[in-house]
Amino acid sequence: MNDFNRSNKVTGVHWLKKPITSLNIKLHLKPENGIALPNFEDFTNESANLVQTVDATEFNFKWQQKTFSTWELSRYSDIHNCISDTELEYHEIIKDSSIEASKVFTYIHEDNYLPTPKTENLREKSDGFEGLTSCMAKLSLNGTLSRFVNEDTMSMGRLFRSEDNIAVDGDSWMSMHVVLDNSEYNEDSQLLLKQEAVLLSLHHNTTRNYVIVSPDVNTLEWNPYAVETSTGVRWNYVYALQLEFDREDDVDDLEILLKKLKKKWHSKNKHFLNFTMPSIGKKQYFITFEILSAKDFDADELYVEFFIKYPDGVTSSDVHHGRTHVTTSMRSEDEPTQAHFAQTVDLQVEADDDHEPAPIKVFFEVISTDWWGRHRTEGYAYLPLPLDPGHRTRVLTCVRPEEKDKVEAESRRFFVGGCHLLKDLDVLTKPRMQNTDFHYASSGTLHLRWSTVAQSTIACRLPPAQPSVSSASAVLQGAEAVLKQYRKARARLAAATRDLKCHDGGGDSWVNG
Amino acid sequence: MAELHILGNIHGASNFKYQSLFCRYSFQAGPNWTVVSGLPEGQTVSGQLGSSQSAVWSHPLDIHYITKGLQGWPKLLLHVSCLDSLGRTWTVGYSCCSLPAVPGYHEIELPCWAPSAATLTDRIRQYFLGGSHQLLQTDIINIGLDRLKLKTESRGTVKLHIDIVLRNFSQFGVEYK
Repeated sequence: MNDFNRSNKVTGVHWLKKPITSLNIKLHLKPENGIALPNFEDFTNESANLVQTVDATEFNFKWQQKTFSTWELSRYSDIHNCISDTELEYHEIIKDSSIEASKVFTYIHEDNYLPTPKTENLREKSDGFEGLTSCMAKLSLNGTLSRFVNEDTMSMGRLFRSEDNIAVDGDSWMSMHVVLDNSEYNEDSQLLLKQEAVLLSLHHNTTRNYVIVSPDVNTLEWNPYAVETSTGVRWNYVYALQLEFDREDDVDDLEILLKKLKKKWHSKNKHFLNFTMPSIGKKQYFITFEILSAKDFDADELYVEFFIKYPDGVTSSDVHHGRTHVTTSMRSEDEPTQAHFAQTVDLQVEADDDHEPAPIKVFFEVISTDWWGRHRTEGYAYLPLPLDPGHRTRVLTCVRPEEKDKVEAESRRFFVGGCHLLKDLDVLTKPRMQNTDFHYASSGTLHLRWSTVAQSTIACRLPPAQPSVSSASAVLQGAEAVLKQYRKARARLAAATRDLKCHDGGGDSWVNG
Repeated sequence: MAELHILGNIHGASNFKYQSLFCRYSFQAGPNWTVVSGLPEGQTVSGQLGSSQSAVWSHPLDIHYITKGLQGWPKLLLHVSCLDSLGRTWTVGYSCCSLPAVPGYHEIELPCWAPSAATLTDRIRQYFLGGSHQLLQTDIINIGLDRLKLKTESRGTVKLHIDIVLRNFSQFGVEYK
């Protein structure tokens, strides 16, 4: 099996907008398998970082703040162990104040615990150069190469020298490391086995003012880091890091600035934010309707005429009638004849929001033309177009009225062509109205496709507003409720006065009589 | 602000009687609609007809609209052209479809048509020399309601594979499914 590197630790680079001295490092540490159920009170508080507070120990550090481990504390408390200036300084600190050892402690820049990025970089470079030198020695190319490298006048020599000094000339670094002390001590706090794992390394580039954070900030609930030694041994602890800066007084100014920016953005993009809405109490339907093709018709040149009838309660200012282009059908041996139209029709209809409207009636008449210019109906079709939102495809079978006598029907079809015309296309919707002298023969199919989108006022969809909250939607809802009540009252009044009028009419006739 | 993403490809054309085909396409939408990213028009590569009498383009589509109203839902207009052995091109099919208003994957077939030769001379010339009649005003492809006077011939079909993604429409009271 392949050995996968499962570490989720990545290094982050943070550009500093505030002084590094105001940096706060927050570290949450908890045992890896430590599960503690939260209390009921924790839920009632609705704390976002609920998991972090459960069983996680928080440690806070400032930039270059020295915290001592138990081993360091015992070492520096004895002056005989302190040699360098830094160690003597630590001894003074420990002596003057009562400092306690911490499980998570820090190595600051003066400790020189780990190399800074600069030294690492140089070391890598020197390794690489040594490797290159050994290669050159093996290939006996040193003499040849040095001639090029050492000559200042040669462009290649300048290139080599510049690559040598490319990276970090003049950059200075300050480092800080947060370390977990997992050492074993005896009862007298004497070290038995020293075990340390670096949890966090911070390298501040003082020249360019950025911080390299390794590993980068994370959350304990979503992406906890496992505590590992430098050799990759895990210690059954997980931790999370957060970097924060001290709040400054200019927060209020920033808030005001952001508000102004937001206002300016809104005014600039006002035309985008004003979404076109239907009037209150109405629902709008946008239908894009396509007549795709007609298949299996006898005639070659066809066009489709369509009529749209809107039901009661549905209004539209769009077309009620249209005709496609005349097209010559494609004929092939394997497939049925096809006449392509690909005509789109856009409809926008409006209906009351409080009830579902009936389907729109669309009637189709497939008509053929010949080279004499005669137009003859080949078939009729009817589509009840529902106003439910969605994307649909439908194949309609076209029918034509034909005489019941087969010989008569065929001779009419052969000599005259076309079919008997329907005066009222509503016959197609109500079969009981059909003339019994004819029967309906199928003449081909019509392929259709349409999409429907409905839009209603947002106020109807919002949850009821709190009485104490005054907002635009609440006002709209209130107005709508008043209008509804007014309509109901007017209907009741009309019903009542209708009876009155009847009585009055009777009275008048009685008086006149 | 409501957003519409159209992702997919113009798959290819079939049942055309020409050996090499390519397609120019353009998205047309109402004044409420603004293209945020992507190209609203383009051209596919030229594809040779295969054994199944179909040319495959697989031309990718990726366009992002924002809108302030539902009027003028985007449509796709196609001009299918042929390329002959002399390097000449002419339009052999027009088509138009309204893009589905339902999110998800859609396979759409667009039947094509082209203006037919008006006279016998034109027909003979087109048969021997190639070429075709073309529309001067292409608006009629997508907005003509009564186009009876236009005489056309049915041509092949173009297949479209698209995914529709709608965003924030429901915030404005829009129902689409």
